Amino acid sequence: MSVRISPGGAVCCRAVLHLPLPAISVWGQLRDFHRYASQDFFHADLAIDGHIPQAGARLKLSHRFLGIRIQRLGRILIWREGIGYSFSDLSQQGAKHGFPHIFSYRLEPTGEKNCRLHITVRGKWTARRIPKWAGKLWLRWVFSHVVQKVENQLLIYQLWRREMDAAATEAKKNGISS
Amino acid sequence: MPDPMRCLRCGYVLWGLPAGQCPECGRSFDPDLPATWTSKPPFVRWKYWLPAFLVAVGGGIALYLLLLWTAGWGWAITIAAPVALGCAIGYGCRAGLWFNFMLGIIAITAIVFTLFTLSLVGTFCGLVVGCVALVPTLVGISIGVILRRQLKKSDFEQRWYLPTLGLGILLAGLGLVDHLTHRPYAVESIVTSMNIPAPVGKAWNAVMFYEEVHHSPPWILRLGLPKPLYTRGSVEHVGDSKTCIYTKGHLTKRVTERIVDHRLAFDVTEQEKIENRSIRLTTGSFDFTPTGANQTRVDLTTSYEPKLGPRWIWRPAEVLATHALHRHVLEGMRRKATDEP
Repeated sequence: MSVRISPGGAVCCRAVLHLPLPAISVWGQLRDFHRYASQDFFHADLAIDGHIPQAGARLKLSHRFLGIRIQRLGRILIWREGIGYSFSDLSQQGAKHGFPHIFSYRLEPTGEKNCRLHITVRGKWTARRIPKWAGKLWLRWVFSHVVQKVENQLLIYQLWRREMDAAATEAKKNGISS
Repeated sequence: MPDPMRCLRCGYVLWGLPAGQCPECGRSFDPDLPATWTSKPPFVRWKYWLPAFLVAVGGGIALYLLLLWTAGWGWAITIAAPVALGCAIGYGCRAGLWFNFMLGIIAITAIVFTLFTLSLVGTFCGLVVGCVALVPTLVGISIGVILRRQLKKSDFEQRWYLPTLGLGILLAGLGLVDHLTHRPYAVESIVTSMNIPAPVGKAWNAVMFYEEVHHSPPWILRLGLPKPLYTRGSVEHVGDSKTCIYTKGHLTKRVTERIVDHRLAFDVTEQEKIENRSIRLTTGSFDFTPTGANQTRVDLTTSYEPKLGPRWIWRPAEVLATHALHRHVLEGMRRKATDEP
């Protein structure tokens, strides 16, 4: 995982998850846009224009922090079936305020039963009064939390799949023996 | 957050796809036919923490009872047991650290409540047990979470039960060590002094015990001690006994020394169901020292044999409760000495 803020304020956070799951299974879960776009614990609620996630769809993101609710806007920028998606998360005051950023998931198959999930956040650090090192620490904390949550969700899904597959195999065996 | 449409077989999210086959497993679905898909999430979060939490609480209660029975209140039950409870929660409950901390607090509350219900601790003792157990429980949770994260990616087949079982066995061993190495604690005395604005004769005449004080006791005594109902006997001569009957149990004191205007000392000869699992009251005394024409210093002393360890944890709580009791009695004496003509 890496978190960088350039001297000009460009933010780039990257993480790669090596998952013991086929890419298609992971994509089948990532398609739950509401769930996977809300992994950031500041995202309290998310509404998609037209309800179906697709490229170009407008988003309304509710942020919540210490009891304060802030409405932000965004758009699904990229939606590529089986590969990934990106969406923007912008302040209502404009693209130069309140840490405008783009969140992306990209899947890369590495084998029949394995894949890599790239998680990226790119944006602009706009809080000039906060020193960069503090910003970096803050971003590292939030981003590591997001990555951890995504990994946990997918590992839980893997467990569920394992249980389902075991149950199906058992049922098949019983069917054959009877 | 709405639950998306999922494939009945593999849980693939089908939102936005036209009717046809699931891209992952090939099962047919039609968004217009709800019977062909499900909106139920494939995994339910409580399954990842509740069973382990219930096992931890059940095992924790069993462990506390076992340790109480074998080793009594020593460091095994006061420190090691909550650490092990925390480890079991942190290791078994697959949830975030803060959520696990919350579960730890709930588990401790459940255990203390059970011990209280079984009359193995009083209200005050239960509160102290709960507060004392919090820090070791949180430490244990952190250890459990770290261990779980370390073993998460290992191929160790017995990892789902062996660490917890190992902890239980280790703790039982610690309890045994605690039992074998335990020595009775030395008698301790707590003294509280108060200046009463009255001549020594009046202060002497105002002498009273806890059960004879009329004003309302502080919260710590209301919470921790049973309510006195009535007393019988007297303390007029050396050898006299006085018994106080409480809502639960009784206490008998026998006068051992009585020097008018100077000292009243007594032994506690019977102590039934009055914190007798925590302490054994041995002696007590009132000492009167005139400090002026109209001023008397009264030193109230209580001596007891402690039963709870480790002492560095329990002593502050005992000192706090005893001083509260002493101040309540001395305040009763002060009021009697100054109000009566």
